[in-house]
Amino acid sequence: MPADDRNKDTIEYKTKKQKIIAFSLFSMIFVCLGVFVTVQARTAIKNVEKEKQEEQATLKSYEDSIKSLEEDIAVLSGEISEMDAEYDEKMEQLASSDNDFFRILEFYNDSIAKYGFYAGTTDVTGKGIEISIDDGNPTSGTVSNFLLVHDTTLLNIVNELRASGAQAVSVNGERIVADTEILCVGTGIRVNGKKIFAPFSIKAIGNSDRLYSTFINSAVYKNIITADLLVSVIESDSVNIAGYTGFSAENVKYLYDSAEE
Amino acid sequence: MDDEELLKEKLIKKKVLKAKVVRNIALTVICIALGVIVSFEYKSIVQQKENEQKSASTLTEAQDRIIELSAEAEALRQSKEEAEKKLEILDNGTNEEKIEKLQEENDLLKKFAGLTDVYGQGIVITLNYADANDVSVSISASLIQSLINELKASSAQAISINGERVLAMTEVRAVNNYLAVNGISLYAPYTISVIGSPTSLESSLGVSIKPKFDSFFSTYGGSFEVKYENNIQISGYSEELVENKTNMMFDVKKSN
Repeated sequence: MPADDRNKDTIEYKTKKQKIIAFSLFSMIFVCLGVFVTVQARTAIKNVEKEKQEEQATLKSYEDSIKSLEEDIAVLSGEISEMDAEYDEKMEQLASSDNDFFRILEFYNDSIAKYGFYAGTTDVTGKGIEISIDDGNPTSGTVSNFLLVHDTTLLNIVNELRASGAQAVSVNGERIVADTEILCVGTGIRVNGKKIFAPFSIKAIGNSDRLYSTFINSAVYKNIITADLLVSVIESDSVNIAGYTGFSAENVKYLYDSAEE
Repeated sequence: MDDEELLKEKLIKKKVLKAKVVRNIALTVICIALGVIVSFEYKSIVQQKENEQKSASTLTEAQDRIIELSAEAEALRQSKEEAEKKLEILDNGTNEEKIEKLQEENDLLKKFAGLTDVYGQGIVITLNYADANDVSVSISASLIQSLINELKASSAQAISINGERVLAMTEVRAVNNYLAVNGISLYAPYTISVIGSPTSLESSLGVSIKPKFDSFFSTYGGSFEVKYENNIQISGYSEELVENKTNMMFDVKKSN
């Protein structure tokens, strides 16, 4: 019997030992899990709060800039209408006091407006089309380089519009004038010396039906579709195109007037 | 082995079994709890992403508005400068000086519109085709468009192709075996006159355009020649014709 007793004791001892080991192991795992979960939750909450604060700060700074811009615009509009009124008043006075000189001034004002209109320095409006074009969605294509709007894409569009009788064209608000370039510079495209980025908005004034149908049936448009670029074209009765804003004597500094020779 | 021993062994086995069951139940409960926690975590991450997207869209909206307003403010600043200039001319100087200033501005704009005959330093490019009536002439149209764009990018201020002035809206279009420029049919060879800074015109040609033309002409036969000249004459475009090319649009200031 003593041998059996010893046997029984050993078994009991072994089970007890196993139980203790299992218990302590589980406890340790639980403590670790508990700590882990709390830390995780805490950092998650902190991150969310931090992000929210940062977003609100950015949004607030944006709203501030919007407000100050709106104020600037109101002030500028007021100043301009004041100056215009002052100019009109002075011209009216001149009309009655020195009519000959008034007529000469009017002649030049009209002439300047006319040549500005021809050269593309004035804001114009008319029937036409508006094209939006953006880089393609990378998931739908295979070669990412294929899906970008290149300078040649824009140049080909502008040339197509010229060929179908466009009278005024702008790309992202930049008016195409006689010396306008459309050239790739790093990540952007240079137009009138300014860097512009996708998405691009191209506006054209002219015979809107002709502009639309010629563009839709052009090789340029087919290439855009093949390249999986995002493109849309709409006809409009009222396309507004801003004038070229960078004009100065610099634009014609290499040109000498043959008549003055 | 007597009955008592067997019973004891059974008891032990029972105890071990019980412990196993308890352990399994405990593990199941833990797993369920973990599962619930993980799903909560996942849900909150998804929600967080949604929130981020929402606030991102309000942020982009605000950004778009800023861009829009900045452009408007910039245009107004321009208009203000113009209004100031007009008033300044009206307020200062003698009548002769006022007229002189207006005339100067008038002439600059007329020149920029391409309506005056001009001369200056620059380059003359000649495109000679092996067969001037070949389809290769029209194939070169897009190369010529790139060439003109490249020239504009590097200081060209007046360009003409076979005497046809290149204006803002001038097209270079391939038609069968010739080119249409300003709606006029032009036949090869082509002489492109360019007024601008000779050094920057030269450097722009070498980089990308000249090699393209060289490879084109080595395929189809012909040559690309560049000559520097001190006195290049380029005629102005006709004012009557430009009227027809601007008859579908209206000056915003005048129509107001």
